[in-house]
Amino acid sequence: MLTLLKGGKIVDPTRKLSSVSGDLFMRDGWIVEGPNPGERIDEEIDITGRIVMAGAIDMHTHIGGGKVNIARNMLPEDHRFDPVHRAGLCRSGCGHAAPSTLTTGYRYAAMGYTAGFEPAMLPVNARQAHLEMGDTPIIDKGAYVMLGSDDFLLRLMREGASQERINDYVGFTIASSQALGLKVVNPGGISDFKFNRRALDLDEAHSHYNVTARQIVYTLARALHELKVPHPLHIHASNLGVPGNFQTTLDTITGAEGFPIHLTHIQFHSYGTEGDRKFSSEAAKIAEAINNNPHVSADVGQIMFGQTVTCSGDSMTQHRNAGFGSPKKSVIMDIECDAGCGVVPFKYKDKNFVNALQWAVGLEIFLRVEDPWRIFLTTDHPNGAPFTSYPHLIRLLMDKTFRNDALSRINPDAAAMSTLDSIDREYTLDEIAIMTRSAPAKILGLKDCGHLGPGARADVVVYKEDSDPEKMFTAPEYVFKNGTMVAKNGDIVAVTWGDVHVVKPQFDRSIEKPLGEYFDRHLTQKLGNFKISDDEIRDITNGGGLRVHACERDGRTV
Amino acid sequence: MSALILTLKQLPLGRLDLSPLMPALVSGDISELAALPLQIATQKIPLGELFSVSGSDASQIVLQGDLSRVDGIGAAMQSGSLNVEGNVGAYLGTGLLGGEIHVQGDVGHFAGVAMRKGTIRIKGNAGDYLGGILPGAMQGMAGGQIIVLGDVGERCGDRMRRGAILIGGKVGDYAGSRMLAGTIAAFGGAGKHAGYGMRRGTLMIRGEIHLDATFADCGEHILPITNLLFRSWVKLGSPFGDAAGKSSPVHRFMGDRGADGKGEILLFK
Ligand SMILES: [Zn+2]
Repeated sequence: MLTLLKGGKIVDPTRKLSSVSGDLFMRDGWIVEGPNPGERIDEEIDITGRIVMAGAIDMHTHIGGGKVNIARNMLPEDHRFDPVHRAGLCRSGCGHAAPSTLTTGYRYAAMGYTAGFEPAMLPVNARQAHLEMGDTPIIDKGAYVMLGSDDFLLRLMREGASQERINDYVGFTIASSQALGLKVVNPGGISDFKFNRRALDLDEAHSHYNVTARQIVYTLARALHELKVPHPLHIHASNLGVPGNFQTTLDTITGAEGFPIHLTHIQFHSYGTEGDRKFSSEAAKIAEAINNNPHVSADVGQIMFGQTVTCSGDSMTQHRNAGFGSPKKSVIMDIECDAGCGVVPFKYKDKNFVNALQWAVGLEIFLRVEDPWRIFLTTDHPNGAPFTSYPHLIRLLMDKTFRNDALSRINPDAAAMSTLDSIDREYTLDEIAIMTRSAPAKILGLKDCGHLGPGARADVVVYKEDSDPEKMFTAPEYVFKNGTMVAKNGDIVAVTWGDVHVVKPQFDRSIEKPLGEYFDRHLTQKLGNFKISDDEIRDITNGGGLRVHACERDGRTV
Repeated sequence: MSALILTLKQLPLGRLDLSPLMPALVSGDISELAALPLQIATQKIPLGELFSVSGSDASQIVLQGDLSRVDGIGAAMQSGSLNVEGNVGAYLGTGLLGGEIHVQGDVGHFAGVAMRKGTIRIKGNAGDYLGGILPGAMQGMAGGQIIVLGDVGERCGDRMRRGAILIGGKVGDYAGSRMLAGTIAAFGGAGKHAGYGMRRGTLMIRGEIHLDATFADCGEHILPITNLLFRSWVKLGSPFGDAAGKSSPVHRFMGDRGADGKGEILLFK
C-alpha cells in the first residue's frame, strides 16, 4: 500500500527542512523515497499548503505504573467533570488530569502525538506499567526505569563495589524491566525518607548507607555512558520545589562530571530565596548553565493554572507537600526495597504568588535556553498540567503578545519578580518541531522516529496553518500512525496499537547470582518472575511491536 | 407560559442519564432541547426521540412516564420547580443548587448527593446514600433540605456537611455514617450502626434504635433547641409536626468515639 501526501510544506528539522514544499510517500507503515519503478500509488491525499511534521513525541509523561493508577483512583471528582462516553470507535473512560489508558491514547493521537514515554517505572512495578502502557492505544511508548533509592544499589555503593559491577546491575535492571532509559529521583532521598530523613541535599550522606546523592548521580550517569545507553541519565534532582534549590541543580550539573545528563521538570528546580517571601526565580542562572553545558538537556515541566494531580516517585517531597493538596487528600507509599511514591492532587492558582511565579519560571526557562535541541516541551503530565494543555503552551511560546496578556493576569507580585515581559523571543514553527519531534527522538536514540526521511516510521501529522498556534496544534487535520490515518480534525478515525521502545544493554550475567539470592531473601517475587520477556511485551501490547534500539554512543562529550 | 412537560415515551431498556437536562436549560435555548444528546446505555440519543416535549416554561418542569430507569433527574438544578409524577431512578437532584424537586413516588439510590441548596420532597421511599456522597468525594450533602415521607435505605447522609434530612418512616443501617455536620431526623426508627464513624452533627430518632458501644450515654435533657426545631417542622404536617409543643426530654448519646466523637444521637418521643 503506497500513499502519497501531495504538496505539503514539510517541517523536518532533522533533515534541515523548513516549510519546504514537497511530496511524502508512505509504504506499509514506513516513509519511502518514492514509488518503485512501475509501482502504482494506491492513495493520494492532497495537502497543498498544509504544514507537515513527524508525529510529536512526549519524552516525559506519566502514563503508566503504580502511581498513575493511584491518581486515577484518587480523583473521581476530577473525572466527573470530564466523562468520556463510548463514542464511535473509542471506548469509554475518564478524562482530565489522570485520564484512563484508553483516553490517554486517543487524546494524544488526536493532538498529533504518536509517542509518549513514562519516566518513572519502578523495577518491581514494571510489569504493571507495561500492562497499562500496553492498554494505551495508538501511540508508541516506553519507560525509564528508576534506580537510585533502591536497597541493592545503595548496598553495592556502600560496599565500594566496582563501577563494572554497578554497570552490570544497571544493565540487568534496564533489560529485565524492558526499559528505554534510566531515571534517578531525589537520589537516595526516597530511601532516606524511610529512615525518617525529611530532606537530603546533594552532598549529605544517606543516614544508613553513608553515600551521597552526588555519588549516586555520578555513578549512574557513568553507568549509562559505559553501557552505551543512548538516553543519558534522566535526573529528578534533589530538593524539588524547595526555595533556593537552584544551587542544588547547578551542583547536580557539575556532579555529573561531564557525563551526559538530562534534568527533568527543571522548572521545579530553579527557585531562589530573594524577595519578601523568600521565593524567587533563578531561571536565568539555570538557563545559562544549560547553555554553557552541552552535555546537559532538560525538560521544563511547565505548570498551567487549574486542577491537576501531582504523582511522583519522590515520596519525601510529596510527604512535605501533602498538606497543600486540593482536594485535601494524598497517598504516600513505600514500595518494597525499590523506592516509594506520592500522589497529591493540586490546584495551581494564577492569583497565588508561588504558583504564578512557577508559571513564569517555566516560561523563562523555555525562552532563555538558546538551543531547542536541549530543552523539551513538557508539563510533566500530569504534575504541572494535563498534556492536553500543550497547544496552549505552544501559543505562549510562539506569541509574545498573548504571553504578556497572560502575564498581566497573574499575581502582580509574582509578575513583578519575573523578567518574562522583557523577553522578546518567540518560538518559530521549526523550533517547536525540534523540541517536540526531532530533539526527543535524538536524545532517546530513536533513529526511525521524529523525522520524515525515508526509513522513518510513517508517523506523520498534517496541520492547517493558523495564526493561532493553539488552534492549529489542538486538532491537526490528519494524523498518521505507522501509515494509518488515526485522527482527522481531532476525531479518532482508526484505533491502532503502538510499539514499545526498549534498549538492551550488554552486561555480565553473573550479577544474577547475588541478585537471585537478594530476591529470595528480601523481595516479594523470584528473580525469574521479575524479568519481563520479549514475548510477554508482545502479548500485552495488543498487537503493537517491540522495537529494540541500539546501544551505541560517541565518546565522552566533555 | 405553560409548564415545560417532558413525557417519557417508553421505559428505556438500559439506564438513561438525564443529568445534562438542567445545565442545558440554563445555558441553551429551549427550542434546541429536542436535540440534546442523552446517554442511554452505550449510545447517545437525542432527547426528542425519548421524550415528547410540550410547554416552554423551564422554571416549572413536569416529568411524566415510567422514570424508574432514568437517573440524574434534576441534577445541578439551580432554581424553579421540578415535579415528577412516578418513581425515579438513581442520583435524583445530584449537586442540587436551588429550587424544589417533588417526587410523588419512590426514588432510587444516591438521591440528593452532594446537594448544596434547595429542597427535595419525596412522597414514597428513598434508596441508599440519600443526601450522601458522590463516590470518592470528600463531603456529602452540604446544604438544603430533603423531606421523605416513607422509609430510607442505608448510609443516609454519608459524610453530610450541612442541611437537614427529615424522614417520616424508618432510616436504614449506618444512618449518618461519617457525618461531619447537619441534622438527620427519622420518625420511624433506625437500623443498625446509626452514626457509624460520625464526627459531628445530629441524628434524631423516634422509635426503635440499636446503639453501638462507641456512643456514650449522656442522659436525658430538655433542650430548647429541639423544641424550636420541632415547632419549625409543624408546617410540614404529620408526622414531622407531631413532637412539637410537648417539651418532653430527649435522651442524648455522644459519638462516634471511634471517630471525633462530637456527634450526637437524640432519642425523642
Ligand atoms: Zn515526571
